[in-house]
Amino acid sequence: MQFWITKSGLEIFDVARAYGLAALLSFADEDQSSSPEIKDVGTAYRINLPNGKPSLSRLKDRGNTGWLEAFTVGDFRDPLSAQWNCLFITDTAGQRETKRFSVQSALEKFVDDLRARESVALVPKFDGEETLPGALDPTAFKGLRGRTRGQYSEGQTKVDRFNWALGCVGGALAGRFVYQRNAGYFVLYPMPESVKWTDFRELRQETYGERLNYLSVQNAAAHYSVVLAERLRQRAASGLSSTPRYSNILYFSLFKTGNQWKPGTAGHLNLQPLLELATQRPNDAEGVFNVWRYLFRRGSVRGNEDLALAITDFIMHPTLTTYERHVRVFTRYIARGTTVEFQYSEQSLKEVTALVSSQ
Amino acid sequence: MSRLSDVYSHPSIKRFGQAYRRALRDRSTQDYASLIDLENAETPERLAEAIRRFLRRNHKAAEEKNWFWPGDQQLEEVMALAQENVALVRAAIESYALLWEPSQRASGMKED
Repeated sequence: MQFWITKSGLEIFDVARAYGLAALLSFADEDQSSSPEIKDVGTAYRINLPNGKPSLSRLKDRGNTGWLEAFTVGDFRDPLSAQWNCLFITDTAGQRETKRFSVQSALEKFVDDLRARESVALVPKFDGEETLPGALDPTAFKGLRGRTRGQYSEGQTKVDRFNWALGCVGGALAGRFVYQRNAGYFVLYPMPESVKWTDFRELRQETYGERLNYLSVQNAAAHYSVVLAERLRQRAASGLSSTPRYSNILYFSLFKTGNQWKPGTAGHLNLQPLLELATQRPNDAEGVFNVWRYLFRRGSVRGNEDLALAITDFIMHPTLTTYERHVRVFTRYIARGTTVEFQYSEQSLKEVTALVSSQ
Repeated sequence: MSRLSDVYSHPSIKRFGQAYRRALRDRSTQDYASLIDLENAETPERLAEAIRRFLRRNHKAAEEKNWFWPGDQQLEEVMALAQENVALVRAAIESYALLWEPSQRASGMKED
């Protein structure tokens, strides 16, 4: 069976819905012989589950602990626990719990309908009864989103119940919420190109613990991209047949103004050049990623921030200007005789120069 | 040559880059002046001037310590590349400062 999550224009909401549906199918599948696979097919995300038999009875089964745990507020340090409190950060504690149960009941209500149809396109309706949480997609925040004349406010974004529930469970399970003192939350979503749900969970477990003291949300996104690329490189080097592919990292920040959370910087980081290097030339990529991870680590310490900022700029926009800045900053550290744990080899630096665009 | 990786791999650039790295890292020379000169070389003429000063400053140390040192032919080739795109040549030479010095790596990792 296959499903189509049609893209609505709210990028993060669409990605979260795709992860949410993959999670629902994975937990509800009676067969359990395969894992749902998410594929970006341009105008939609296609979720494929061969021989899938999702059912409510499977979800309600006492032995299906995964489904129950998905709706439990777990330890934020646990990579596989759902981040409900971060997702509903704009709500009060009481509302958070109500919404969590509401998501669960909405998904359980619809799961048998999914089984009845072999192929279905899920198009969100933006005149529904549920409010899209701001921490799921920054465009859901109230406020000015376009040119208006005279009226400087607009209502909350409303969506239909099923797509809202899919987005919420996907956001809670797939979103990476990094709390940074004095800055708020940095939120990251890897955008799938071709990813199996089990691979996604495995990678999340492997990469979740590696976090630093970040200077900005771009810094967090760039570091996460290198950590992710390194894991994929290791998979490629070990010859594993299934290497998941991601296209971008979507990021945004949330910061507190008085009692309210507001969205900050948002954007996306193109992962293609890094993943191409990681999967096609894994041996050369190892040296590059070692140096970059070292620069992020070293740059997260007070006094060395310029190292992290320079490499962040280069990974975000690999142009000649950002490359030269990275080289100059790093050269000064080396030239002053500072002990440097990792440096480039001639071949690994050649790979870096090949990433530089001619802009 | 329009790509940085092509310019970086050019043998003459490599020879200049290695010499620049030695001059920068050697305790007796620590040639910061060339680092600044090179960073500010925005035109082929300024780059030629920066390279000329670099060679003059470090020539003695290179002879005494038996460094690999660029010759006239390599200088001509670098300047010909700089006429095409000075920013790429500058970035490519600067890049070599980031590489391991052979003496810092385990044996068997020597350059050239």
